[in-house]
Formats: sequence, C-alpha cells, structure tokens
Amino acid sequence: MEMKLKMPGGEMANRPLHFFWAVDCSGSMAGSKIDAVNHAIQECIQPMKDEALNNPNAQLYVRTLKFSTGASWVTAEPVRIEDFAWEDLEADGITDMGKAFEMIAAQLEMPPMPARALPPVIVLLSDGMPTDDWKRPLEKLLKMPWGKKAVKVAIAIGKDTDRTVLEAFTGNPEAVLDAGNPEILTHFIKWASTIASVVSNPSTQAQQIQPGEEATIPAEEEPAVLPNNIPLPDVDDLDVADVW
Amino acid sequence: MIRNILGESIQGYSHIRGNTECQDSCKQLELEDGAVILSVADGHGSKACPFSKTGSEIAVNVFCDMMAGLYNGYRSEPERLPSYLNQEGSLKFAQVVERAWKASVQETHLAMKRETPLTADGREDPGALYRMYGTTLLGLLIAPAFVFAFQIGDGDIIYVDAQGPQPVVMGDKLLGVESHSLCSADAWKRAVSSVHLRSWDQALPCLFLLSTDGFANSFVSDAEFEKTCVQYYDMLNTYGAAAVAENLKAWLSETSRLGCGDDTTLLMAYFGDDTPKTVPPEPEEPAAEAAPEEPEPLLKAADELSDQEE
Repeated sequence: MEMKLKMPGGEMANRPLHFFWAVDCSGSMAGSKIDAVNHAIQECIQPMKDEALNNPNAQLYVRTLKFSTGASWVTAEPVRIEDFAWEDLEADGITDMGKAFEMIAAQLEMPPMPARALPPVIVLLSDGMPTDDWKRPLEKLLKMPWGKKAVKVAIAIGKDTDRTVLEAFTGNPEAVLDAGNPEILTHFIKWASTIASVVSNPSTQAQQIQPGEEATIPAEEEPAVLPNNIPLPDVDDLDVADVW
Repeated sequence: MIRNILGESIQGYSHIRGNTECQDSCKQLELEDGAVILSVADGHGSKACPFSKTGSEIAVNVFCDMMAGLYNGYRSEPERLPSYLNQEGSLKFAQVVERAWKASVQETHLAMKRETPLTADGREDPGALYRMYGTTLLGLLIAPAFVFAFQIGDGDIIYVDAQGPQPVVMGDKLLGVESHSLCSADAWKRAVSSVHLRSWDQALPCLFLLSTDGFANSFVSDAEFEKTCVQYYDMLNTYGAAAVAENLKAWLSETSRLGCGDDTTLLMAYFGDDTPKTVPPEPEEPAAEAAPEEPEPLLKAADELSDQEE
C-alpha cells in the first residue's frame, strides 16, 4: 500500500523574466510620436497580462526607462505584469541615450538580476541621435553576461533616426525596425510586447559555440528570426509609407 | 550495506499545458561486481530540436554502454582506471561518447527515413541533423573504490551525507535558456568530469543525485536546491527507498508545477546501513534523524589521487 509522504524540498518559484521599455522622450519625440508610443504600449498591457496568465511557470516583471535630458525609471522597482499600469510619457529635452544604457546595465548586474532568470527583453524606442557619450555605456552593457543574453530590439521612429546606435545596441540590423508612421509603430510595439511570451518558454537552446561550424539553413526556407527563435514581425499587410 | 537506485522522469507542467512530450531520459546499469552506472539527459525541446527525446535516449544509452565497456576493460587491473580517468582518460572518454552519440543519431535518422537537412548549397548538413536531436548528458559511475562523474550541458550531480551536500562535478552552466550540448561541434571540449576516491561503505548513509536542470531551476536559489537534496536524503534515511520511490513521481510533478515548468528527472543512488527502518507513525510529518556521532569524511578530491600514487 502506498504511503503518502510530505513532499521534501526548499522554497520553489517560477523563473523571473524582466521586460524593459526604454523610451526616448527627447523634444523631437513631442507630439504625434510620443502620443503614438503611449497609445500603443497602453494597448499592449492587457494582452501581456492575459498571456502571462497562460504561463504560470514564468513571472513577468515590466519596467519603463525614460530618457531625454538624463534618464530615470518610471517605477522604483520592477513591477509584476499583473500590477503594471502604463503612465503616459511626455517629451522634452535632449537625448541622453548613453545614460539610459548605463541605467539598464545596472539592472542587469547579478544581483539584482538572478542567475536563474529567463533572458531579459529590452525594447528601445527612439527617433533621434544620442547627444551624450553612448559608446562606452553600451560597450559595458553588451559585455555583461545578461547584456549578451538579453533579447534586444530597437524601434526606429521616423526617417532621420540614427540606425548606427540602434544596430550597435541590438547587434543585429534585422532587430532594428523602421516605424515611419503611427500604424506601423503600433504594430511593432505590439509585436515587441509578445516577445516575453516566446522567451518564457522553458525549452533549451544549444549554445552556438563555433558559428562557422554550425549548420546553416537555407534563408529562403525559413523566416528571419531573432535569438531564441523569435520571428520578426510581418509587415506585408501594412502601409509602410513614412509620414514622420 | 544496502543500495537502492530510484528515479523518475516527469513531463514538465508547461509541456503538459503545451501537449509536448517529456524530452528527458534516464538509465541505470548495474555491473557484475556491484558497480553502478547512472545517466540522465535533457533533450532541448526547442523548435530547432524536434527529435530531442530520441537524442536524450541515445545519450543515456551511449553513456551506460561506453562507461560499462571502459570499466570492464580494466577488470584485470581496476586500480588503474581512476588514474586513467583522472588524466587523459576523461577527455578520450568524452570524445568517444560524442562520436558514438553522433553515429547513433545518424543511424537512427536514417532508419526512421527522416529528411536530411541540407546546407545552403545543397550538401548534407550533419550539424543541422545533430541539432535536431540536441541534448545534455550527465553520467556517474559508482565503483567499489571510486566515483567518476561526467557532464556536458546543464543539470546537477550532487552527493549528500551526514556532513551535507556537495557537487560531485561542477557543470559549466550558461545563463538563460542556453546549454552546452552533445549536438555542438567538438562537444567533448565542453565536457567536465571528476574522479573521487571512496569506498563502498564510507560515510554511510550517503546519496548521489543526478538531475536535469528542471529540478534545480524550480527552486528560488542554489541554497534552496541544496536544502532540497538534503531533505531527500533525510527522507530516504527515515522512510527508506521504497516509500520515497512510491512518492517520487508526484513530488517531481508538483515541483515542476510550482517551479519552472520544465521536464524534470531525478535519479538517485542511496547507500545505507542494514538497520531496519522504523517508520514513524505520522508519515505526513517526517521526523529528522539524528546525525551520526562521528561523520565520515566527504568525497576525496580527485587531485589527491595522483599525489597518492607518486
């Protein structure tokens, strides 16, 4: 006869997943651009909450960093998606993107970021050229263990955006998405918000040790993907004409 | 001395919800002289690895077969095997395991008549084929005079006795959801191993635990994971292996549900004394067993081996 015993074991928990919105709030974003960002992210929050409910084995934390003249976190601590509410941002000042990289890097240190976390997701939204020294802070961020593993996406808002810095941030030109009008910006922001649910899948990836020796798959047979098998957004049905 | 081998692989909670099979595998092999070989493997389960359950099954079979072959090859002079493994042997063994796994994957793929992936210029792509079967591999040989541990990728091999827990081998863990893998080119370079001298009846009771990463990742910290290993040891001391084995599957399922949701495998080798267990009257509240008066030393470090023989 089976003897039912009390389960042994220490404290258990699902794996944390940190999602960062890094939003350029410089003066050039004022007006329709920052309005579109606020509206699009606001619309994403409930779907993110719904999606998180479907995956009890990951705890999604969301945090917003705004940067213009200086940079600051909108909330003092990461907020569980269940409790997260978007606060509309206003645009004014210059573009201290280097300061933003510095503040994100501080959050990717271990601690506060635990080693058992899922890869963090950083979505950078910007329309302009950085006005401070961004290279050194970005270099530091990208050398950090979690900086390397983070899923990094940038949305370039408008046609005069400096792609150099955004591509340096993502490390992948395909992960820089050009949003030339409010419709496509909204589409990209909604797509970016779904990355969390893809990353929270606990399946393992074999580390790519020697890229030159790894198998290649014919590009025409596979959709373009980001690390962690995240497919890039589809823009076939969208009007991609620039209005900004 | 009594010896019990017990273990379970369970489908992760997220895999139950997603209706995907458990990609973990485990295997044990007992040899004529009483030596035990244990192995667990964690198929990656990602989209790029659709046959990783088969990959993990092949991995545990390959480890047990190769380990048994090597062990039996030294039967006439068994004292030389730990020295060999502590020197160039572990690297050669890792190379043999990688070759055998890849050969078996190719053979299986062919036998199943699955489509062979091609490179951009239309040539057969073995690297892509191996990746479809990607898996980690952990293995342990517990011989009468020594222990050999082997690991490629994430997971844990832990030893517990009255003095507490300690890792038998330090796995090379990566952050996030990446792991070293048998499917990688030159996977043997990522293998870690260790040799420890110990006798059968040293530091009884004692416990070896091999687990896939779904187990440790379900606990909030390394300290809580180690505490868990000690509590399993206490349960075995208190209730015996049969009672723990009966509950193990439910425990691991609950661990996955409350933890990271990944497939979880735990394979344990418990060495106890012959004292009959007196089961406490209230099994829901296990009583802690008093520690032995004079605890025996822990595993002897592999580095001491060559010093002794000089």
